Amino acid sequence: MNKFSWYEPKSIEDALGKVNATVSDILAKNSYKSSAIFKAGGIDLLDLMKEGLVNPGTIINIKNIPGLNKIEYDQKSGLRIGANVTLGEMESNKLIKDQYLALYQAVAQAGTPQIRNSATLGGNLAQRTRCWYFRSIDHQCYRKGSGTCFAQEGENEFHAIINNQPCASVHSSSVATALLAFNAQVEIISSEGKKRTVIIEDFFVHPGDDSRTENILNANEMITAVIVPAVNENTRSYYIKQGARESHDWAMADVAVVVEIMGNRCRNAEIALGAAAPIPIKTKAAADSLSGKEINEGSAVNAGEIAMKDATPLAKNAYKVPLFKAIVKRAILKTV
Amino acid sequence: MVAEELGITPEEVTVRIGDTVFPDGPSSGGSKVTGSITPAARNAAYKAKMELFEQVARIWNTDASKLKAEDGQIFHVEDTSKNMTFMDALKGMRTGAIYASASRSDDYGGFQQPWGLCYGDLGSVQFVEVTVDTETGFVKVDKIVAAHSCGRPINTAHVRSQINGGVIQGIAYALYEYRSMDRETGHMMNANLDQYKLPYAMEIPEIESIIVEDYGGRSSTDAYGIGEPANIATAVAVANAVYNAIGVRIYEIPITPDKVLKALNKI
Repeated sequence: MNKFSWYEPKSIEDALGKVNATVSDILAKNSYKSSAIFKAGGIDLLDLMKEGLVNPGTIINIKNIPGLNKIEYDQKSGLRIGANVTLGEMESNKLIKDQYLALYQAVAQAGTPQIRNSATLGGNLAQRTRCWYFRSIDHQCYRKGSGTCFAQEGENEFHAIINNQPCASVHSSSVATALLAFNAQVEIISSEGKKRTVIIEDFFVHPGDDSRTENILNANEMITAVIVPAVNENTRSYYIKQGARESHDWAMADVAVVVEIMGNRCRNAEIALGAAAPIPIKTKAAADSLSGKEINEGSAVNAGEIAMKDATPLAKNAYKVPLFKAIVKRAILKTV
Repeated sequence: MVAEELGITPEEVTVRIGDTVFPDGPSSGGSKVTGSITPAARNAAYKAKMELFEQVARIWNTDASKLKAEDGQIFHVEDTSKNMTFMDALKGMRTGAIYASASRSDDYGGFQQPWGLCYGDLGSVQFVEVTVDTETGFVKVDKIVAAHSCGRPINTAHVRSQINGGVIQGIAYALYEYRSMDRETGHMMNANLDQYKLPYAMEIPEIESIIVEDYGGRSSTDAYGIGEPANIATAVAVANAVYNAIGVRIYEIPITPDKVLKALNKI
């Protein structure tokens, strides 16, 4: 780790005036002395620094910027979670647990209690992949901008099984899986003071569209909040994460299901998968298959099959296909 | 061991280790430390005690073999009016200190075993209960019963702790740990602790240890090792339990979801 300087911005404007790089910028240029990068909880950035991948000249600690740490709720517009709200704070929020069960479950299973007490929601969404080739200083991989995805022919047991070309990494945020199923939006502000709100599907960038970046944030932009639309009294949700271990582990496969149940029929289903593709994805065909149907073993199994019909597993991760089928089925059945 | 021999409390014994001026000990490993060190320590304590008895016997005009040390006292076994505290005996010593050293070799008392006396007659049986999720391929160890013959347990809490440690390591060996080597570049890909899967709290089952005391009379303590033996049976027992659960044998460890699902013809 190289020496770096530390900057405590007093406001969003102050921080945006100082920042000049994202992780991908530093990975591409490696001009660390002049680079100034954001740190919120520090979970991902410090790992990237310890791994020798990024050496920022200045760390801008945005964690203490006032006003970004609130959870607000409005019956019409829904939940607004500030970017600096920690996963621990989300976990202990009663409203999230009562109304957005899948989100609560995803947050409560992320990392460890210590990590959740430090990790912020904004940082969780902006974190980089845990693909072991990306994380290795010795592999100049596709996601770092070089053109070779070592995982395609290499050690790919934890890698993507859907849309896994030209890079088979998976995004590491399991909270994003749940947010995706709830159709969350990400609120972003730039140094010019311009605000934009994007649906979370558009926040993540597939390696096929841009090899170097995993999200749409420019260097002079910051996430200010995540907005989760209001649910109604018929909404049910469930989230399942399967890691190699039950304690402190990344998802090998995770799924969030959000459905509206009217009578005993399902309406407006959303199914999101994490650790399946390079970015968190929705499986619309599987969700649509539930529409107007009763949720039972048959419809749930069928949705799991549909969710996996486009899977193109690599040499060592074919097990993920039955794994996803099983957890999609179980999560759907848990909503009723 | 030393306290028992001298009839004092363990708190009154100071252990000094890790200096090259001290006598050689066994290497700290190979499941032979307890079996090697405790007889030597006990024998040295006995020698030192007998020298002290010689000095006390001279005062009481009796024979050293008639003396005994217990509960911080030294007394004559036939004439209990002859007694003094261990501390008073030390104060009355003709020398400032008594030095004694002893060793225990593998042909102790002319008796020899090809595998070395410090191992004794080790044996263990472990029983494992697992749950196999036949849809996801995940194996979870629910309970392990570990019965170990380990001579005389010197410190029962430590023996149980060693069994726990061996069992947990065995679970890691059976279900989690492996080295992911990238064939093209020759790098180990899972060298970080978030990538190299070790069992954490949620992966540790109920462990019931049964200590089978076994006295072969092969040393002054009859202590054997337990370090490695605690680990030997676990992975095998886990694999057998998986076989018992799903009816298909898996011949490679770790038994990951990938291997279970392949064994069940689900991939």
